[in-house]
Amino acid sequence: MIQWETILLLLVFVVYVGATISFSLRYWIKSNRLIAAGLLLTGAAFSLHSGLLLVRGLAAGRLPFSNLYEFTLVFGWVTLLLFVACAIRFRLLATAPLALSLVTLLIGVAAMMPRDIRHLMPALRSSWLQSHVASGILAYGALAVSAVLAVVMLTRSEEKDEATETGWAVRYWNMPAAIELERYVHGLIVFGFFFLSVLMVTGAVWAEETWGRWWGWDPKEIWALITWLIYLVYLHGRNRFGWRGQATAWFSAVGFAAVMFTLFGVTYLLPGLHSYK
Amino acid sequence: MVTILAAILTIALILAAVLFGGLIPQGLPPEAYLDRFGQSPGKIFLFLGLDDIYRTKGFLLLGVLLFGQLLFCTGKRIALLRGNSKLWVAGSVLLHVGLLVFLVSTAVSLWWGKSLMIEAPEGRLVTLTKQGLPFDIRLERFLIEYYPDSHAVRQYRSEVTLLREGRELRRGSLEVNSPLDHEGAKIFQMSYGWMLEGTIKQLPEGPDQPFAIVNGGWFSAGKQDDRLRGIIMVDSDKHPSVKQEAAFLLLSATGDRKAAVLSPGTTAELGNLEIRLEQIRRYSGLQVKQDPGIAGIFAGLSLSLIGLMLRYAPLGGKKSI
Repeated sequence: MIQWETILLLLVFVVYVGATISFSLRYWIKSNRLIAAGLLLTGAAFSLHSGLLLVRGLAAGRLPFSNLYEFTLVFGWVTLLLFVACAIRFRLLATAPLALSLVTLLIGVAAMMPRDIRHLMPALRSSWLQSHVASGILAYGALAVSAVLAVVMLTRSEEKDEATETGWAVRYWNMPAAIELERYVHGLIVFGFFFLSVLMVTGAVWAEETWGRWWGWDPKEIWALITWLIYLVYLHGRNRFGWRGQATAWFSAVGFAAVMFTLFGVTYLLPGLHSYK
Repeated sequence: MVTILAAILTIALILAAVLFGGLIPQGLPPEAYLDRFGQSPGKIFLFLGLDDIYRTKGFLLLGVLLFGQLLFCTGKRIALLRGNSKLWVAGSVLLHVGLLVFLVSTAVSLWWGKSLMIEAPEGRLVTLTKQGLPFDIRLERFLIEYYPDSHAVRQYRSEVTLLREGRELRRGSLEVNSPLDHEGAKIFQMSYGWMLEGTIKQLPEGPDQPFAIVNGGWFSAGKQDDRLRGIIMVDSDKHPSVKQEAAFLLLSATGDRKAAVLSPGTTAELGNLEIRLEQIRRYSGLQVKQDPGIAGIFAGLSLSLIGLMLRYAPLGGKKSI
């Protein structure tokens, strides 16, 4: 089973790289076949990625939610799923190179982590594990997509480009204007912020049950709070002062940097009770 | 508008303080900060309480300020609710009321909550009523469950009797993730370990001095402040892996080192000290906690979550309050 997992992991990485290259080349070579190839490779990578999670789950005999390797794999999977949903709904396929680069990076980082299947320690044997981790994955996935769109937004003008595409690419490849992207970024941040809040509340309930304290200023808790506060300032600023444009894009990017530090930086640099490597 | 600006500033200040604590490790011994920042800056750092920033008066003040602003904003939102029955307005009110309940309950928890960590050896009564908790605890049995064919611990459990003034109140068991609740106080299973108990005597004629060494810790012994360390012997091929033997290491103040292996009931001379190991006991690390604010904390957080969901449920909700 472990061998299958290694082969699948390598395949997933390679096919994601292929999809990223295919979509990226479309910026230089105006052929719609490249978009079709990118879509095909993304579909294949996603199927393989799903298979990888299934294999991992079967080998572990549980949902793949219990260490950083498993979390990173599921995080990448949900990020892609949310991105594809947004790309179809809001016609954002032109942002695919950046989104796929991020997912590929996550798979690459996961591939460098230890993959041995370990028994769950007593603290993790709780019904709260699933809801806590699932809300974290949904939050991080949405915030990842929001950051991708925010970075694209920083390169865009307020006005939509004149349509230069031909064929079916007209509908999906033309890049939205910054103002539209900002709306999508906000929607994704709201979604992510809600699940970030669920993540913190379920974590507090679980910590109270396991460690006898709902909050302990553990490095992971501190950085989760920092992330939450960054997005809280963003939401208040946008709602009350009408913050729009580049400032909100920077908030999204900084917020996602905090997400990444909470996930990887804290785990490796600031060990605490949450260091489930 | 001024109020919301003040609220954003307060949140930003809280963010800055939390970020400070996230970047500079908190709660280290004072020497660690003096080494890191140098003597004078380190002393200023410690004087300002920045080694424990979340307990400084300044941080508490930010919490009070946030509470006041939340109260004001909630009042405004409730007033708005009277003329507006939209779901997102109700959601916004609920969200802020939930946060108020949360902050008040946190204050109640901080002021009136009690918590005590204990290491309870099997068969011995641990008195807690003197510390204001509603019962004493006797650990009857401690059990460790392993995964099949593995040394990995699956679960550990304490079977306890709760008593008051020697009278038995109830028996019960608790394990990790499943605390025992009695009269508003909860007992949590935190850890476990081994304890070496015995006596130590300064030769030739010193009195017997009892010692208890927990989990390979140190014990100061003798007139010259010698240091004694006791370590449980482990046989990793067996279940349970702990053997009924302990290794003792004596570091004398003069720099001499001496070691001996003892089993319960045996004695050894290490330098000018005589060490007798009476027993090797297993202990259960428990936390006993009485927190009148905890229900309010979770009620407040739950209300806020529901409020947040309603606030943004119709994301098209054009207006914001």
